Amino acid sequence: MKRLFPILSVVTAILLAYALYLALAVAPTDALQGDVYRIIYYHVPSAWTAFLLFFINFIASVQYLVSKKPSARAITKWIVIVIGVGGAIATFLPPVRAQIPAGMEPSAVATTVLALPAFYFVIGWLFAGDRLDVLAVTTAEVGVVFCTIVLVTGPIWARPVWGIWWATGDIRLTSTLVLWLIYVSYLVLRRFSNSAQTQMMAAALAVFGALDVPLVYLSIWFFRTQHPQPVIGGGGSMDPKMLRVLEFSWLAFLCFAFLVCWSRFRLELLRREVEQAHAMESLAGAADSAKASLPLSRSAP
Amino acid sequence: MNAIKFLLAAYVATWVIHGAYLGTLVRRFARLRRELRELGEKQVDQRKYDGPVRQRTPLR
Repeated sequence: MKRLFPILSVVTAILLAYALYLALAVAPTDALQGDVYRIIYYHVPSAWTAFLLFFINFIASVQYLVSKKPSARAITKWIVIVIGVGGAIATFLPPVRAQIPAGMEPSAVATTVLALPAFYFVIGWLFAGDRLDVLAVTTAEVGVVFCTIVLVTGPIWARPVWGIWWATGDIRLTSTLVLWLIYVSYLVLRRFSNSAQTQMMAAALAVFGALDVPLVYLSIWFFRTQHPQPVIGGGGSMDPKMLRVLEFSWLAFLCFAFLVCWSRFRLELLRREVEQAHAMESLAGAADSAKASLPLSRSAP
Repeated sequence: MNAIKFLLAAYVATWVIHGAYLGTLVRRFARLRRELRELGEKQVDQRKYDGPVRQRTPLR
């Protein structure tokens, strides 16, 4: 595993460099916006990566919450299966299909719904006990970094295109900002709370926070927004060359996010190890002082 | 519209944010490793101070 990290780092660096080359030199210039549209190759992959990381955080938090009670774990397992399989089948039923926004493919919705049980069981299989909590804090922190990039690059693009940095009241922009604030508060809670219940409280907050992710994603489908309407998927009109560059850029950012998460995961394990060592030292110190304060007659020969 | 400076600003901002975050990770790693080393050294010192552990007589 130790040898895999540098190899993967080199591969990721090459992918990112090539993605940059594709974004700046290969992707065609937009007829209306000119070159500034190329911000999309950093802005959109960062947003997708942040959503994915928050989704993993949600799954890990649910797993962590139910991990303490076997009965809750069994019930949640069946709920997840029913939501995944039932939801995937339901998307093809005519009444549900009629509710899906124009341009959004039912098969895409079904795949997204099926991702829930898939991620749930894979994460449950790969991580157990406290490692679920480590995964949750890792994905939340790296997700916040990617979400910060979304919130920074968005206004930089908006200034020359819209003439304003921020469209006040726009639901996509506001819900993204709220999403960022929820996960920042999640990290602040974990950083400054010393209660034994911190991990549980953080997991509960993460479950509610994740509810904002579908709102952010679907806001441009259901509401009229200043933010551009979907440019990919069924409703999109993106040039296939641009789309390929966008997908490649996302792949590169996914690899980068994976590496950063890996490092952050190891850091969290190390932090807990140090915390445990400090606790053991304090206990040993307390035991020594207790022994020293014992009356002589009762001390061991 | 001089868009290139905005494009450049967005790309630079992205890598500045990633760089800053990676910097905090490296700093936190270094601090934790130092703490762990210091704890290890403290334990070695403590053992020296307590003296060698007496051999227990085996139970008959």
